[in-house]
Amino acid sequence: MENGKLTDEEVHKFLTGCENLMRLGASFTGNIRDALRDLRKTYDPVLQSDYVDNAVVELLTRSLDDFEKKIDSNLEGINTICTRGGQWLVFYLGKSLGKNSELPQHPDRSFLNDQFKPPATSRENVQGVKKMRA
Amino acid sequence: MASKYPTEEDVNKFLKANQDLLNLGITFSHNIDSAFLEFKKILELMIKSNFVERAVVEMLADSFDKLEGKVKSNLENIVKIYTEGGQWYSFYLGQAAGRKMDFPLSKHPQPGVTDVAKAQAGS
Repeated sequence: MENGKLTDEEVHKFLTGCENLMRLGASFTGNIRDALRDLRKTYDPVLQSDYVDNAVVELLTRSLDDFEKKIDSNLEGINTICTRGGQWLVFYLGKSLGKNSELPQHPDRSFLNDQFKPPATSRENVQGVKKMRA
Repeated sequence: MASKYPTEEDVNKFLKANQDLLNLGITFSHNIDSAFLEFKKILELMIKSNFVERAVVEMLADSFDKLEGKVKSNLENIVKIYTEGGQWYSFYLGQAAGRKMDFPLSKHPQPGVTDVAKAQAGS
């Protein structure tokens, strides 16, 4: 990078780096899902056994379900940012370099904020992401 | 943005949106952390009570400890991607748009993140 300008090679490296980083993010969320599944493998048989009082079974089952739902919806949000968000980042980097970047294959802008208005089409609401924040 | 190149305003908006998107990712990670602590509180109370047989208490606690370790390390890495990765996005986009940008705080991306991911996937 000389005189503040990026070479084609640097851009290519950066774009590859972006993609790898986004994949890595997706793999971290996958690891958390796997860890949850492992926990279930222990908890489900125990909760169905006679070693735990019925009142506790009910409470623990409900808490575990609730916990799982929250984790799932937030992991979904993280994944969305890593996959679709990453495509948009790459698209705009290409644009600012004056390249003919193609729009991402699934131009879902629902996760972008209110102030950001991508070209060509109107923006959609951000309700999906806001729900996931809850 | 009628021409091939984005306007100054578009670049500013994009940089802001980029920052917001990454902050959103960090919020999701914090939400997971909060849900985790909430569940942990309930579980600990149950385990300490006499409503669970001693025989299974250790098993439940051990499973939960394993989950805690995995969730925490993976969340840390996700947050790292959002914070450090985000700084690099802004840096490269700014450079591409012809701006003078300062290097992100840590000059080189963390090499350890990939290794940690591999190790965790294998465990």
